[in-house]
Amino acid sequence: MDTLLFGALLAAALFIIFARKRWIAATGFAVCFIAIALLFAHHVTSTLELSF
Amino acid sequence: MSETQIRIFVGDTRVIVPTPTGRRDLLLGKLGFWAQIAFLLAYIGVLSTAMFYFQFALGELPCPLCILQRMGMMLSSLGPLYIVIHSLRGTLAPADFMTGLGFAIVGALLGAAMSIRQILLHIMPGDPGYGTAVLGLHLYTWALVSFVVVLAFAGVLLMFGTEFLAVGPTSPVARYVAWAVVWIFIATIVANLIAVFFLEGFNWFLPDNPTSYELIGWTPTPAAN
Repeated sequence: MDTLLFGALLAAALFIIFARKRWIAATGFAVCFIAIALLFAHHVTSTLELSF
Repeated sequence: MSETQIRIFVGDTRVIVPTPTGRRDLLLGKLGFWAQIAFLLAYIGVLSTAMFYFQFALGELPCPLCILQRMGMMLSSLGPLYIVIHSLRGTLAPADFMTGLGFAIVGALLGAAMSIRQILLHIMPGDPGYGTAVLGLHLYTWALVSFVVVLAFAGVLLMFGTEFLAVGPTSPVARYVAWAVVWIFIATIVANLIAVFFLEGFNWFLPDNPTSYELIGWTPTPAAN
C-alpha cells in the first residue's frame, strides 16, 4: 500500500508539472490526501492509554 | 484603478488583481518565488537525510508512521511545487497562489496529525522513543516542528495577500536552478518509492517495527551510535 501511495504522489506531482488545469492538480492532491489519511487511520489501532 | 492592477473576468464576475509591474512588487514577487523554492529544498533535504543517513547509513528501518510522515511532507510540498511551476510558466494567477498555499496547509495538517500520534505513542516517562534522537528530539518530533513551520509560513504569506505572489526568474541560470530543484523533488519521491518497495515487498502493509527489507529478505545491522 505504501509503495502504491508513493506512486500516487509521484503521479500527482507529474500532473502538476505537465497538466495546466487547476482541477487536475487539485484532484491528484485530493486523491493522495484521502488515500494517505485512510492508511493513517488503518495504523491508528487504539486511543492509547492516555487521558485526553 | 492604478497601473499595477488589471481587470480579469472569472465567469461573469469582474475581478481586479495586482500585476507585479513596479520595482517593489517585482522584488517581493521574486522573494516569494525563492521562498517557495526554499520550502521545496528544505523538505528535499529532510527527506534525503531521513532516507540516506538514518535508513541506509545507520540501518534504522522506518516504521509505518515514519513513512506516513514522509508522505505528509511530500503532500505538503505539492503546494510550492504548484506555485513554482506556474511561476516558471508565467501563468500564476492569485487563485493559483492560494491553491498552492492551500495544498501546503492541508498536507501539513495531515502530517502534523501523524507526528502527534507518534509523539503520543512514546510520551510516557521512561519510553526510549523510536530511532535515534537528533539534538535531543526524535525525528517524529522534528517532523511536527517542520509541519508547524509550514503552517506559519503559509499563514504569513496569506496575511500579505498577493504581495508575495511568486514571480519566476528571467535569467536562464536561475530558471535552470529552479527546474533542477523541481526534478530533484521528483527524484526524491522516486527514491522513496523504491526504498519502501524494498522494505514492504509485496505485502499490503508495513509491520509496526520493521527489521528487514521484505523484498530481498535482508536484515541490515544497525550502526553503533
